[in-house]
Amino acid sequence: MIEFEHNGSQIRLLKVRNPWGQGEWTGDWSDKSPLWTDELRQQLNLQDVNDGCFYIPFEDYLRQFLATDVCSPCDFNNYQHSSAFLNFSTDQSDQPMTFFRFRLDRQIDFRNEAFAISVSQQGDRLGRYRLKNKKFEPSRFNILLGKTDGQLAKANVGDEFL
Amino acid sequence: MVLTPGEYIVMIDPIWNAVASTDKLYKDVLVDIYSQDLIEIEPVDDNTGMKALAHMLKNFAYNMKADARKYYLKDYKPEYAKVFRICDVESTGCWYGFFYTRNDSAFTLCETFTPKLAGATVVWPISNTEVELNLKPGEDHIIIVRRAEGVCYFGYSYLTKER
Repeated sequence: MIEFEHNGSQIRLLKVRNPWGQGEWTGDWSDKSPLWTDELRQQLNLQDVNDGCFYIPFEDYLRQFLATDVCSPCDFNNYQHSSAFLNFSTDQSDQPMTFFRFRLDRQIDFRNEAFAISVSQQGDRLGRYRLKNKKFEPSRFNILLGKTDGQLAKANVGDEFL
Repeated sequence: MVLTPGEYIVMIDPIWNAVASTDKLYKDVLVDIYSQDLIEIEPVDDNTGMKALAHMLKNFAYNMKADARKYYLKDYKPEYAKVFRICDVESTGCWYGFFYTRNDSAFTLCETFTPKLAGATVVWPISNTEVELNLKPGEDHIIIVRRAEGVCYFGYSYLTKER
């Protein structure tokens, strides 16, 4: 975020990058905005190209974006990834749910390190290419985590868990 | 949150929406675990999983606040004053509820228990009708209920039998 005075008003701008590398804000203080002075453009090395990077007033950011996620930087070289498919489409069980287990050999403290369990369903790309543009709506999941000694650690319904 | 060492069981229960039935690929779900340790994901059969779920929810119910307990026989059968029941469909944080019965009396409790549900089904034990309880002193029993809709009716009847 940058903050400066402009024509007697305090301006707060956020620098945002569209992860698709294109598509930008076109309102006040966008690349083509006449509000920029040559001096400010030079100071910020602002370039009028559709590279996905843009400035947006903080108030407009709050209006245009529904949610903001904050990422904690961590060293991904230290993280490992396991995955498994749960094939509910071929599951012959009478029960709606399925189970899996894993073992932890040491304590995981979420204040000191990341640990994530994610559940993913096919996304709307499948809807576009296989379902002839039918709108995709993700299903929700009941997810429950506990220890085999009987301790319930966490239960949730929705699309986010740990 | 802290996860202590040991073996964990995860239950995944999709609440499929109308779109899910349009293509079978929508019902194939990917589970990922990210950790500093390499975690091995092992499948668990339904029976083992349901037993673990029942164990967890029994513990959960037993450790709920004392005012959740209903000592429903204390005025009618003083010898069963220490029998209590907890009926809950909201506290777990997901669309699962339970009827939990514990017999802390000195006598065996024999009871026919009948859940009465709308918008919900019994998933454990596998029976939607009557359940015969035969609880010795110190034993407990749980009936696990899964809500199928946002709004559900959650009731029961019971018949306690003479010792």
